[in-house]
Amino acid sequence: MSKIVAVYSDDKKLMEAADMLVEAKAPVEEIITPFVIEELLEKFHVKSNIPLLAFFYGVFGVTSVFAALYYTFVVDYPLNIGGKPSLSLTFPVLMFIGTVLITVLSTVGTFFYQDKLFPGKHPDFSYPGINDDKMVVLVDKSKLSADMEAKLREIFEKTGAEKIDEV
Amino acid sequence: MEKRFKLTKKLQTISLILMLVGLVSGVATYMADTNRFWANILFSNYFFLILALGAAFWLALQYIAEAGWSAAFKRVPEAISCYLGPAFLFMLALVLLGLKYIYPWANPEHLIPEFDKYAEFKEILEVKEPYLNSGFFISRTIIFFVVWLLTTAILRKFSKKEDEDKANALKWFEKSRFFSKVHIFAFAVTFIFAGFDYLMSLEPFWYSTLFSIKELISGFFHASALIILMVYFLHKKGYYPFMNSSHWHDFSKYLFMGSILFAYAWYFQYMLIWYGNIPEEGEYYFLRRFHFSQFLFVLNIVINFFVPFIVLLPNKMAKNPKVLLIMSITILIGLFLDVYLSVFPPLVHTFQGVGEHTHPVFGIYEVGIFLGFVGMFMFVVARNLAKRKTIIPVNHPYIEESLLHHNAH
Repeated sequence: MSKIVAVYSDDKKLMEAADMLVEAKAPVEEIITPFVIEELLEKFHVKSNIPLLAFFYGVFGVTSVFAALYYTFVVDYPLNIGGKPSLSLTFPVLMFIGTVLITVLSTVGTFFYQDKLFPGKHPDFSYPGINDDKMVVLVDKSKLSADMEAKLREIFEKTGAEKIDEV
Repeated sequence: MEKRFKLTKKLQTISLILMLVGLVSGVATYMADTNRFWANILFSNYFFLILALGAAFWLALQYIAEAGWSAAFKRVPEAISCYLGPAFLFMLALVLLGLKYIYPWANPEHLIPEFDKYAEFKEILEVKEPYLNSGFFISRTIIFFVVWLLTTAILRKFSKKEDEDKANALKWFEKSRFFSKVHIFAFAVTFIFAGFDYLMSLEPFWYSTLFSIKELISGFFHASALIILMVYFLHKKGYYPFMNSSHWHDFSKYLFMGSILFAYAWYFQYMLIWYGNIPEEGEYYFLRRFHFSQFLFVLNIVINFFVPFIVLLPNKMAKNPKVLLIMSITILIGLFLDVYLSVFPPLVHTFQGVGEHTHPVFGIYEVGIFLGFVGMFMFVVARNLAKRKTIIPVNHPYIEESLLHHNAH
């Protein structure tokens, strides 16, 4: 599987290229950057369902922690603690902590599942400088027509890519 | 862009009419019931005082965080903090003339029921005498307001210098940034005691060390609602033509965060007192929930936390200016309720015609005096907004960033 790799070290130039790539409807496979550039997601209309899922994990967290507390403190083993009712006002503390824990762990898990990441996985793609300050645009060559490839190379050259390579 | 806020005839007339209404109902209340008059002065003045202090804190926070997006709106909190001047006059009048009508420690024989019957009442007040006495109370009030007026005036002066002096604008910005830290420190230290003095000493037998931090958080939260309200109307009048959904979204984050912070502060004080279960501490909530109004007590946390939290949760709602307008009005009603529940429950039994039992007292006097303060607040804030040459700051180092502000989501 061969890919075209365009290397940038200036995010402004990359944004210019992104505009032109969107206009040319280029089948960009991946853009790897050393820091988060949220405008890229917006430009390529990449939508993530993780915020919505995180909300549902939060709802699940609240209900499950409350159910667990209710079962242990009220149904199964009610204790008289200072004469206070078993259904205590201190529940929200534990519910808050438990909800945060459940939401964070499930969201991270979902993220790993969606990106097919796991510990010890062999990297899909590697290129010198990709872990430092270089920004890389990847295009799958097998999906490209000859026309499109020429156009892409022109875009990369025009916007000042440091290097255009094939791997 | 080089627009100046115009103080319209309509706004002036409305605020003058409101002030007149306030004056008339103030005089009427004073004639009918002196205790109720001073309770209302404390209530309405504290309502706007905490908003002015919260707005000054909001402004200082923008400087410290070097927030770029909010640079264009900094005139609004600056103008709100100008209310500290009139607030000082009313507080001074209150502590000089009205102390013995509302603060039980200043006049225990009349304001504490069955004071002569129990020797413990006298003992507790004698122990607290070194702090709670009228001379120290008056000097504390003066110290608080001098500190607040001085620090906010210096922040405004730096901002003015920054507008006039284009060559050294960055220097003045750096100065404001440093002075914001001084302001926040001085404000935090003085406000802790101000909260104890003005509200907590209405019940001299009760104390909570968490009380002032709750009031401070409440001021910050509700002041951001007021800032949003003012920005909305200024935007409607065409003073902020550049505003987009990113600006609204960042404003709504303040409401969202503030509502959670307020709920946290409300909850930790209530939960600790509930769990501790000590009669001296529980007295505060017992009075409000079982003698005053269970409904208002629950409504307070509902409209200050649950409503804004649920409404502002979806992304689309948080970016909608109309939703933000409704939410900020709701939250300001929440502040009204919160201050009402702080001031009135321990005082209503001293009002004429109420008798031994406490129940919510709310009538034409409360509305009239509050409207008077609303008019005065509008007048002071609008006049100070009109004093500045441009409504959008010039020479601020982050002004471009603010005008072109854009969030990706």
